[in-house]
Amino acid sequence: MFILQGGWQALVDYLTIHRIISLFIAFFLSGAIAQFMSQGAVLKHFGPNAKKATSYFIASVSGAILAVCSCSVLPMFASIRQKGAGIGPAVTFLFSGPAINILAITFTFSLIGKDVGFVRVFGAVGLSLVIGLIMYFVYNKSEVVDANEAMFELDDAGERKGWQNVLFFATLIAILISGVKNPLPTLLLTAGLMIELYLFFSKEEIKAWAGETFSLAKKIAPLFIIGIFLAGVIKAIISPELMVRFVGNNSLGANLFSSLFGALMYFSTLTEVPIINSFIELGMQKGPATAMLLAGPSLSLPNMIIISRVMGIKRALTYIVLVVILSALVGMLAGAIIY
Amino acid sequence: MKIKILGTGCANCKKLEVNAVQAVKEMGIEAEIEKVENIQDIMSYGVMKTPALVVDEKVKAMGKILSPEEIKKHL
Repeated sequence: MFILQGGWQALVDYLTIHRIISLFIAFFLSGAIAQFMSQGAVLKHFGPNAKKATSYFIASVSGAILAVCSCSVLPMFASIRQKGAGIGPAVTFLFSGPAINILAITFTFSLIGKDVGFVRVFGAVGLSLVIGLIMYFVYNKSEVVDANEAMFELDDAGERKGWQNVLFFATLIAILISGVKNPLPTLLLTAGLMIELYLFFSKEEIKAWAGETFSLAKKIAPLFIIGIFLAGVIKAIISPELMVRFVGNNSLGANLFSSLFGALMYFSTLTEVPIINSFIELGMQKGPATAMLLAGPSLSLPNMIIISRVMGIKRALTYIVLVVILSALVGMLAGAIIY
Repeated sequence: MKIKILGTGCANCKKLEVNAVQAVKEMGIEAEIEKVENIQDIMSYGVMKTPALVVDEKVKAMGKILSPEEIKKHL
């Protein structure tokens, strides 16, 4: 009973009006990305003839802009590696896809805090680039590329001009950031958004956007609620003494333990945030928590097995080791310098 | 008619398969529906985003869960 109460209390504590509105906006933003972001414009940068620097940069934020279903990450990774830009950008994409997810990032900022949120975003982008580049330097010579330019050319240009899309997304992101804390700017931005919608979008597109947002919400909201509930249960079950003994400091050991745990453990979308928040409330330091936030989403034991089937054990192990060690380092550095 | 659903097995891919089965049933046509989960096989169709719909070896759609109505248009 006490355990269930813990879960319920966590839900009640979390779901303030501020937070609900913030998440509401985030869902609409995710829906907009899924509906309006031109896949074609992004995909062509992963082709064999794209400029490498561009491939890397776009891959490192791909999680935010491609709205991939978690099972799409692996086929896309395989395609980019074997038929497109090669193992470097492919690995960058592999890491950043699950790591940079608008809802998870919003949730991190809103539940855990701005400091951890910023480190998570910049850490994930940075790590994805570093890991991709290292894998490139180590393995590219022994890669067999079977370039297929056509696969990366998707013709899905809409009726909107590029700048209109950019303005639209920028407005949405601004609304998300200014959010409930600054009602006046938010209202002005929302008015601006209405004008943009009226000028640039057709009714069908707006309806499709709403539909997409709603179906995302249907899929994700339950996970969200279960995650918070579970996090509350964890808080009730695990003793703070245990938590502090392992990760109550910012040592390399604590950070490595956390990143390894995060890498092995399967976190379903978004659930890593409330669970790791509970760990923090039980005594885990923010450094190790960040390490877990970085290593957690992109890896899990089942997912490691599939990756090794696609890349081969040697490359897969290299990748996993890089993720665990570098996440721990980022966590430790953030713990020492920022938190 | 040979219909293939390409997907590594998450809920989205299963939904496309369910919708395809329904579309075929509603149209009352003879069709064989196969689920392709192997990544190499999926890539051999030149498909990047799963789930994808392949009809008689031609890729008809990728990255979207088509409704039964939309699937019928491709059959």
